[in-house]
Amino acid sequence: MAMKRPLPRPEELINRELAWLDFNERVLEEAEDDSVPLLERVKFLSIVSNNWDEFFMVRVAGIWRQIDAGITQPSADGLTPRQLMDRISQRLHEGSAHQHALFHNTIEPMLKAEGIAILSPADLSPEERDFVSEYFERSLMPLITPLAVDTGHPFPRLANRAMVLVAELEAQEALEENSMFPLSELSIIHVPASVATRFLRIPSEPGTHAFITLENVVRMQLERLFSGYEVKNCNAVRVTRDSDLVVEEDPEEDLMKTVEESLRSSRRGAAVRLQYERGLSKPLLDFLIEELELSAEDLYPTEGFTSFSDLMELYMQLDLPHLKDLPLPPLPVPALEQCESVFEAMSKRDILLQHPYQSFDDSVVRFVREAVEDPKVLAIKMTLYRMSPTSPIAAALERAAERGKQVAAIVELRARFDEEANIAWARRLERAGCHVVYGLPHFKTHGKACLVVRQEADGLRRYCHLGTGNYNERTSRLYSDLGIFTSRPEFGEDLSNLFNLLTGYTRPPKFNFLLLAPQFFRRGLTARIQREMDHARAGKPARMILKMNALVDPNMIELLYEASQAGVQVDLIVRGACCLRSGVPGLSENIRVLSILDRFLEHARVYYFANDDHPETLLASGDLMPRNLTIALRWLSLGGPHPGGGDRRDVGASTRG
Amino acid sequence: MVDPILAAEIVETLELQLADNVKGRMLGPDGQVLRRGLNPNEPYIRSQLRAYEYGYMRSGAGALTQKLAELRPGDLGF
Repeated sequence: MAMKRPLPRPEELINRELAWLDFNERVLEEAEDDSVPLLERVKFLSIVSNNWDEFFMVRVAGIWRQIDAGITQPSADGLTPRQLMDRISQRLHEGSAHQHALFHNTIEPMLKAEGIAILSPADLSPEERDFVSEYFERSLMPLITPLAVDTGHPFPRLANRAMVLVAELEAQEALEENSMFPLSELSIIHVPASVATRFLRIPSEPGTHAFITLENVVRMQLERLFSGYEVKNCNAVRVTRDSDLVVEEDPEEDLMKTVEESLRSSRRGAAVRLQYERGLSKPLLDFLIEELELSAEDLYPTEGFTSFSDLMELYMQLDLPHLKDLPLPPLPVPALEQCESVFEAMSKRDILLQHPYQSFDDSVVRFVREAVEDPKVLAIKMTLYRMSPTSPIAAALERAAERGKQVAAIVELRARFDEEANIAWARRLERAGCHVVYGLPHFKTHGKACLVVRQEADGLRRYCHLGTGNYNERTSRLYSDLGIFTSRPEFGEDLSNLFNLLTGYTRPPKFNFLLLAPQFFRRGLTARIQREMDHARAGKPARMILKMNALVDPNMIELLYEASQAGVQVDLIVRGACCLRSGVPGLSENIRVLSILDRFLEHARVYYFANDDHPETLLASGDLMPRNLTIALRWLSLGGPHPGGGDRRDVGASTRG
Repeated sequence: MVDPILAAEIVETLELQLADNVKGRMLGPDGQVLRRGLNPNEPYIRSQLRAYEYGYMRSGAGALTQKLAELRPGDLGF
């Protein structure tokens, strides 16, 4: 019997960060693709930049922290933090240069050919200049705060991802002689992009669309701002900061206060990247490097366009269907259309929901709203991971509590980049009378589940929704996810037990169909993979299809290599980072990995096991990443028999954690 | 998934995605992820549009006036 290896060898793994950069290069390929409509290409350019921003704020910042802490131990793939940073830096610089070239040499001329122009100040007619001046005076001037930099005014803090203009000034003779106030040679101006559109639309001929960037609007008014000075130079810069939220949980402290404090601290994070227009003078660049404590590899010069992530605003402003994807309006769910209420439909059969193809609003939002309005509904319990600021679901829960229903909301305060929206909703829900809890200490509650308890003629009945996507109406239109409506008593029992665990730390005796991480997620998947290996070794057909966003966990990768070597056909659909090497003779020749990148973000996690013709299909909220398998509270809802595969009770018994 | 018909529907979706030769890319042994390359003699399968088409047909709205699945890259914005 072959000796079992504990982990793959370094050469058998692809580094996680580099795999993620590969993924983002695939996004950039969509922006390059001639078959993609022009404005969708603009959108992909924006997504690439936004992804890079987050990569800098979390991953690059994390590697810098390792380097600063003197860590030289290689990771599982054999790279030390310093070696990894060198590779990342090279890839990011190449990617950034590629993105600029693509935009300026290809996309911008194509936009121009379609009558869409991003004008520079020199392109404007006198009338257009007047328009911009009036806009500045009316909408921007009250928000502008120029900050002088001199011995009395220390270098100001440049906010994370803010567009900032750095103006080098020289006082004109008259000012120097007559002014009783101090003079400045350097001024920092934050461009108020959060309250104004980055692309100001300028009146133009019918059929044409002219814009000017906000930084150019401000730049055109510098003489007005700095009267008596000569503006020698003015360039845009943009700083990206370490924004990884480290929440030090203290059992004595309120978690909400702890997260709020962590958010405040994260705003003061170290700079990890400086993007700047090439015109920035060398002395000023050196000054910024010193002030921001950066090194040469953190510098990203730009060609006249500093933040591509804002291109999404241009996409949103242009209502030009011929330059966008064919609209695919969300479809009705037939099983719901045929019934008076969602409860009636669910009481007849389980219902599969495929978003965004099928309407989230007409299914999940409708379910929660009907529960709020239905006098027979006594209780609604729900996990909330990422909520939009205008969430109709959270608003419905608020109303339900006000109507006297029992409402329990498990709000995850540590959902990355959505912490503030979740805190705001948690407060509102609490005020309305909901029981708001933040989940279990030291665990993130990532699973998406909703339980509605209804009084019916024959007693209480439980209605459940479980999904792979967040309860977020905005992302539900952009992300591809699966959900299920069911009123099966076993699921109702599972969700009751789950919510009691989350709200009251009770210990459920069992789960019928749920596999909770961290305790059962890894164990449950491992058992099923090993079962498939047993089938292969017994000469039976063996196959798995595993779909996820990321495959990173070295132990699971090793297990998949073993499965391949045992003869299991392993099909992986991995949208993002995949650290496994597929198709390597002797290692992974039975594994194929597919990545789909299209108009909707592939987000569903599905784990399918052929199981010798007794297939199991599991829906999940978690990927195969170490943190999900150890510290995140995620769930898998278990698959049952396919036609001819035995009865439900057997499956429940066989799949218990 | 407990309902066998719904579970089969999900597996069908996965198989469709595995067959995607328009937006699907394969990871090679060297770690490179490359487009599969379209063969003009084979049907073009763009799984997201096919999934929408299936949903459309199931919704009882009748056939689409133009079958999305028959569209080629570049047609009607895809």
